Amino acid sequence: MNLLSSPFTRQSLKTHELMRMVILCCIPGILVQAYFFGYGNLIQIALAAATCWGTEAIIMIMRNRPALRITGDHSALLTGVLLGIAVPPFLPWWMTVIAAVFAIGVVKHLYGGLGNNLFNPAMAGYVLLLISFPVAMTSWQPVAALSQHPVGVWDSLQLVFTGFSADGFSLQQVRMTIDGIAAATPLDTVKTDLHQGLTLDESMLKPVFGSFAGAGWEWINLAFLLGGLYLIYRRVTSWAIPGGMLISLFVCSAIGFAFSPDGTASPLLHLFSGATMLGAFFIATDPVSACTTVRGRWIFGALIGLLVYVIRTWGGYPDGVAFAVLLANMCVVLIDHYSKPRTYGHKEAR
Amino acid sequence: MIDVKKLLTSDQLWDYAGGVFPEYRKEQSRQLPIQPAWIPPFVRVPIRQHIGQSGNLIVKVGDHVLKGQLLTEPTHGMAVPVHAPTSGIVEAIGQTPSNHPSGLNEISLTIRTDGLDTWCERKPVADASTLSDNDLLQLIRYAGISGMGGAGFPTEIKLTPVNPIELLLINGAECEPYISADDTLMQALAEQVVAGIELMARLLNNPVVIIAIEADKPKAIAAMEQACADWEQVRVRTIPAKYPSGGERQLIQIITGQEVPSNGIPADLGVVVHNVGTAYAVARAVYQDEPLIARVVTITGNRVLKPANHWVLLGTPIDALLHHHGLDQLDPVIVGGPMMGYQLPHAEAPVIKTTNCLIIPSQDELPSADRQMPCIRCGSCAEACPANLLPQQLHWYALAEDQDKLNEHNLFDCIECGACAYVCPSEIPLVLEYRQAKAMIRSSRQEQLKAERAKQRFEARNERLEQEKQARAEKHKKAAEARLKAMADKPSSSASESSPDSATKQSAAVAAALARAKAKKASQQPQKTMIDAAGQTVPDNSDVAAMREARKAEARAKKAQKQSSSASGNGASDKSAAVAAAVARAKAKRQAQASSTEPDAQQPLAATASNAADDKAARVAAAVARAKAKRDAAQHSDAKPAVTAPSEEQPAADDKAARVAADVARAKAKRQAQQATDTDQKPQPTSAAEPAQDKAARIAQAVAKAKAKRAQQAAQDDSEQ
Amino acid sequence: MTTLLFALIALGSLALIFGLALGYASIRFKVDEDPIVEQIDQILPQTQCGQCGYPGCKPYAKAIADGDEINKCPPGGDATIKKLADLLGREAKPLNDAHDGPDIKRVAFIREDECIGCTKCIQACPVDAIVGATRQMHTVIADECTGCDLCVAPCPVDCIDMLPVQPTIQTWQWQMQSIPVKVVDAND
Repeated sequence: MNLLSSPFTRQSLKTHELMRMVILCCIPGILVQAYFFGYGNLIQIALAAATCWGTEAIIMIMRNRPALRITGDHSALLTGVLLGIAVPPFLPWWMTVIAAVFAIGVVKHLYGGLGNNLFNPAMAGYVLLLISFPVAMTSWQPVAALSQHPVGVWDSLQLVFTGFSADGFSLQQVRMTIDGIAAATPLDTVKTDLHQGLTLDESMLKPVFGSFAGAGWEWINLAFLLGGLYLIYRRVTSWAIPGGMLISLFVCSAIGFAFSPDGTASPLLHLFSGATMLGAFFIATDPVSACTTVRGRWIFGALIGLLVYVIRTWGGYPDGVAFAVLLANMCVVLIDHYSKPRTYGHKEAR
Repeated sequence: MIDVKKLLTSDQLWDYAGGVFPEYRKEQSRQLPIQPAWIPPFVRVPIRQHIGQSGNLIVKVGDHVLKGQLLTEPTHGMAVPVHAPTSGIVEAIGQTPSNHPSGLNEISLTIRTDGLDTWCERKPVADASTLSDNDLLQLIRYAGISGMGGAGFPTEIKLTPVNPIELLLINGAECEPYISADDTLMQALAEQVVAGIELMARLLNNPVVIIAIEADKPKAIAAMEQACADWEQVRVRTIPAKYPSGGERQLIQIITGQEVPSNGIPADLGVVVHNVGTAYAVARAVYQDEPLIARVVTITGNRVLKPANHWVLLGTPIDALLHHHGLDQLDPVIVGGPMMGYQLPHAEAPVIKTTNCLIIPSQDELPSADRQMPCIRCGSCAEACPANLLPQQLHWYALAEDQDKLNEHNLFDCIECGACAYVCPSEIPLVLEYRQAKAMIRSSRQEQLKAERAKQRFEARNERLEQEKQARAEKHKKAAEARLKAMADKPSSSASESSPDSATKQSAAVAAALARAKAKKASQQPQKTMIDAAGQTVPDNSDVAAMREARKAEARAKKAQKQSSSASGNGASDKSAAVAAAVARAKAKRQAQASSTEPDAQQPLAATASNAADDKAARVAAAVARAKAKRDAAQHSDAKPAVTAPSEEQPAADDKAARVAADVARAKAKRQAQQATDTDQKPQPTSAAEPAQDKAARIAQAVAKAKAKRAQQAAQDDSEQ
Repeated sequence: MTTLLFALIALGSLALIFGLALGYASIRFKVDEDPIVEQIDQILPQTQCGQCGYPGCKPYAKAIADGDEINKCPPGGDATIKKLADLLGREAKPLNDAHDGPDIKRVAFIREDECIGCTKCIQACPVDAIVGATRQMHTVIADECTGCDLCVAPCPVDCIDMLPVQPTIQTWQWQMQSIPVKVVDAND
């Protein structure tokens, strides 16, 4: 029996368990999302996860590595789940597959596999789609309560795989709200409205905004927040990145709101709409592509928060979490370099 | 500086970054009191059991030693002696497996115990105040005490303050899981531990004393508080149980809030840290005159039936000790705790001064590290690191062997506590990587130093050779000048009053002679030195090589002479042998000088040999002659093509001829050697002749071998040309 | 026409100014010895063994600086070649001669009862690491020996061995060899 080297005892939480825990903590958010947006996202999650897993297995076989053992770390599965959550529910299936293959094949394994990727694979796949198919990627249907044509499981499958529901409605028709306008996400709506000269209060009167930050979206965000808090409680992830991101986003939006309460979205809207909570607790916290020092993580989180605010306020896209995460990924090495902690016994961090 | 007075009153404790909370598993081994020592059938005492050098052995194999008897004499500063742990006979002194992760052998004494456990004469000191500080230090030094917490630094040196010491920190933290040796020692022998601490404090000019004990040892804390109740300068502090609080630097930070500078030692802060076990050993050495020959060892692990702390004689083989405690399967045995210990490569290694714990785990008690995954940069290690390093960065750089980056990330501030590897979800053996990286950096530094020294020596040598050459040239020049002067003096004295143009002629002659000498020297110069691109002269080996041949021949002759004289030493006719040898030598010299081939060289030699009546002498001569002949043959074949066939194929031909010649020579030598022994056997079939024959045959063979080697070399040289 | 003239004058004067500046710089900041040679020499192992074909490490360093191949140093091995390649921006090549045997550190050892005291090895040693005198036994100062091999060939009686340096507890390094080997216990 060879025990290699000290220490001979280890704590129990292993990498694959970490990954599994993160996936499990997504479940509340996924369920709430399914409640509001139908079965589309469940289909997307299944599709993306399966594609990611399969891609990784094939690549491992091609690289003559133990495919089962490596895919057993659940990291590809997690990428797939996050991607599936992020894309619109009725995105054509092949787009999801492209994004999943790109995320695992290019972003993860071309860089050397687990632990070596510079960018968050799920977000890179998402952004690939966002740039290539901007219309499809921003086509969210209204929450079920507001929808003109509620969709069932069968409809959802048909929509994803053929583009038409079982009743023959196209995606565009499905997206119609009861008042006959094509639906947009709350962030999209507020952006368009503010652009058109409406004040925030006027915009907020629309049904899409629900009780405080968007019908459905506010609850989805709360559910992800819940899952994220559990992750922190179990010490799977640390406070630094989500804390940094949420505080920074809050501070930015609060400043903006203080200066122009009519012309910008409120902090509440920023925090509980779009992919804020998902991004803060599940996407930005991907350890591989994030900073590693404690100080660096606060900075990294804060940078994402800032970028999210900037993109949402002035950018061309309604939401900016994916872009913000990727941009912050690029800064990781720099942040790490300048946030090295002071080593014991040294006067200054070198 | 630290406000030590405040430390005595304030309840403040500081915290260090990181740290982990492993399962302590100490309860199992601290149920029982410390078990008495067992005398094994033999002990193996390594002569070096601490950091530093070993002393000089002062016993020899076969000596009877008594318990406590000095086995090595500490001759220099960092040396610490070792003592016989019990009475017995020194059975062997030699290399035996060490108690070290490498499992390499080290010098140790094997003492067969006699079971009587007879003490040597002891002079216990009842009142330590009668001793001077110096006597006390010497007593500690000669008791062989070195740090018992882990590193094993000589205690006497740490008790000789270089800086004024304001705080003596006694380390009773014992933060590693499983180990309870210090805990039980403090519980059972608190009075003596405190007595030892008092002695240490006295040597350090009575600084403030703080005894730090982790909170999970309430009994030890109570015992220690009671033992030092009537001593004002001392205070027992309870520190939170967290690993690695027992690390020297971490403990200092907990108690004082100060950090020991990276390249410094605690004494820089006016702090000295000693282990409770060391304090006990000091008290023992002074008040009982009992050197360090036994220590408390925790024997624990799921496979141990009765985990407990035992007094163990230093030098007790671990396998024997564990067999004695009813354990048969000794793989793996972990020495030290599970966080910083190591797996014992050879169970027959002995218990030494720093061995505080032996863990014999069951199969599933400690996980084996075989599920390593890639690093996911989760950063848990950075949060756990008590030195505030970035272990995952070090991991990448260690894999890349990037020494600059490793230094930049302060690899050498790593205390190898194992906290990072403990928390790593990917089960990466981080500590092992750091140890290897450190070893790599250390050895490359060493190599750099060595290369630098080799360079200096090389340059010094070149300079010396150059100087010698110049000195020689100078001498020649002087001699030439002197000669010229002598020559010039004569005509000038005779023609002193002749016309001035004769004087100029003379000086012109001198100048011409000088110029000639110079030209000659210049013409010689290129042969002796090689002038490299930068115009720097470097000694050339070619002249050495040229002289090599001559010298080799000389050496051969000399060897033949030696051999012949030793052969004739048998009592046979010395004279004729000497004559033959002398002739052979002369021959060899002549041949070497001529460096040409003269086949007739054999004849007079053979004649001389035949003149000699004695067989042995004849044999020697014959062998020498044979060797000569072979050499001639080899040289012949070398020389021949050079003269006759200066064509392109010459090297190849040379090569072949040389090789053939060499083979023939070898074969001939063998045959002749055999013949020589055969002929020997006929006239002298007595048994007394046999050794002589053997020798002669060997000599002949050796000569033939040398010959063959040279022939081969010559052939090689030729082919290279 | 005048435009052309101005252009010519402007360019000409610029050339003059820069030429002067460069000329001045070349005198003012002249480096005594090509520092690249020093840097290369730093990398070479300083065994002074001559296996590269040059009489020592410094001459080989100069030769490299003048464009010689970087793969002629067997004692340095691949590590040295890699460092040289990094320094000089050249491609790392495998060692030029078929240098058989693993790269272990060796040190010369004289079998002292066989030594005839010929001093040949002393003369061959580039770092003066052999002590002895004519007809006196010689011995190697192991700490100074660079393991260059140069003393082995000149010995007329072949009494010099190149022995691998044995690790001691002080020089031992944690080995990667101890890759976990799963040993199945007979009990389970």
